[in-house]
Amino acid sequence: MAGPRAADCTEEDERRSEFRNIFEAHAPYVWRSLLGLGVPQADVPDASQLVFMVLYKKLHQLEPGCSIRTFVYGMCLRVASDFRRRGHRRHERLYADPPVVGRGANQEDRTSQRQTLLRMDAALARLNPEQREVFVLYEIEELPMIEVARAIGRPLQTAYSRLHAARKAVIAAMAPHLQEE
Amino acid sequence: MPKDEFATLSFSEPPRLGELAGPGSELSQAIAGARARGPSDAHLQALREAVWAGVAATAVTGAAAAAAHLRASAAPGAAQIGGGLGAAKVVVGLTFAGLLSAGTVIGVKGMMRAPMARKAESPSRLQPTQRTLADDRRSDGDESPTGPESAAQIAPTPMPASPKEAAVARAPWMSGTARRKREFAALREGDVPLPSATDSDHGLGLLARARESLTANPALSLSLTQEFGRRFSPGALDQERDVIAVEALRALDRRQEAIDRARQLLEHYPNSPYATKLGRMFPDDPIAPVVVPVAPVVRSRRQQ
Repeated sequence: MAGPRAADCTEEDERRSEFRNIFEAHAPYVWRSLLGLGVPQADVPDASQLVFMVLYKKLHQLEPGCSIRTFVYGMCLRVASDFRRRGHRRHERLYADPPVVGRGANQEDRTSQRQTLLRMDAALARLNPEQREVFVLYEIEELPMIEVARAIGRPLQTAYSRLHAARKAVIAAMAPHLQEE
Repeated sequence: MPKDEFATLSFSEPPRLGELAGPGSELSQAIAGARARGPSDAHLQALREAVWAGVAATAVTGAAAAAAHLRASAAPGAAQIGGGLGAAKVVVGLTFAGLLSAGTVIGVKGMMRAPMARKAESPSRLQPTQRTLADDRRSDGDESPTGPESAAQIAPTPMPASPKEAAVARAPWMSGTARRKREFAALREGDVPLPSATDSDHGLGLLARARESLTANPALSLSLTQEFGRRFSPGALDQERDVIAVEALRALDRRQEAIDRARQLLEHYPNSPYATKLGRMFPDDPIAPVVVPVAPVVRSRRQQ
């Protein structure tokens, strides 16, 4: 006969199983999002761990019908904000080493890719945090705008306004290097 | 009634910047590169080990143990990776325990349910790759009273063209590529507005008309929100629809109905970004739901 203790174990097993699925599905983009949101690269492992630890604790508060992805992004925004403040106080450069790029390219392509990414990261670093969040979520992570608005906790029009300002700033920052096809 | 072209809510979102800039441009390559980067296999494995060690620590002794774990020595292999997982610097200043126990709401506003309102969910709800906001939004059981005008009596209003439609209207002979280049050039000059609520998209357009009608014709506004509910709910803009409906009811001097509708909205979304606005509309009538925390205490940013 299953008692309360056995039931607790089953519930915990289910929770861990669910969490494992979420981790495997979302770990890469949590890492990537934190990078895009300005977390110093040296801090991304710790920040990623923190995101998942908080997610594990708050999983039961997830609202029915809520997109897991949007929920996770919301946590990334909060953790990134904290780590950015700490990185600023330490006066660290954003990146000690350029982030991992795609595999399979030759040396010249990889060098070019690194430089392009560094320019993009420098352009993102010039944005204010609110604009950067919207830009990263919409342009890089390709969330629908309604999910972006949900993730940042602001009305849709506010998200659009921030995206508009971010786009102008990024284009201006990368203008000397932009070339259209 | 005109034939409904859309079975579900659709959005005319602006093209992604990478698309506008062109597939071979440095900007699109930069965005694609940012999208493609991620942890190495070693990083991922170290993260997996550290997270599961933390989960095990949490299960044994709760949040305090998990916080201690993060302050403890690094997880296996993590020391080889810059920074080291579980290093002391992680917790100092960031207060992992503080995030969990000091009542700070983490994550998405408008998505965190009050603990007492939470119902048991089946494991299948957490298949993240299969779920979207639009797929799973529950019907809010629209109980809004019927207004004096039905949707069929609403005189059709010409919908303003979206920027893209306007561009096509001005230069129909332009190819898609040429138009994209022109849009991107305009974007660089800063004179192409992003789609607003007046976009010709049916769902957004309907809400835009409802919003625009509020002052001059709140009854029409209310009818439009009901029409939106019939055609596009449950959907991602239910909160926006409800806020307009509350304003219309208040303008129609149906105060108690407006209050009930606002309470309904905040019960469903206790951390809604519209909570402050709704609270200000009814300063003498508390509309935020009373939440009895289960554990731990989660500080809400609801405004009274």
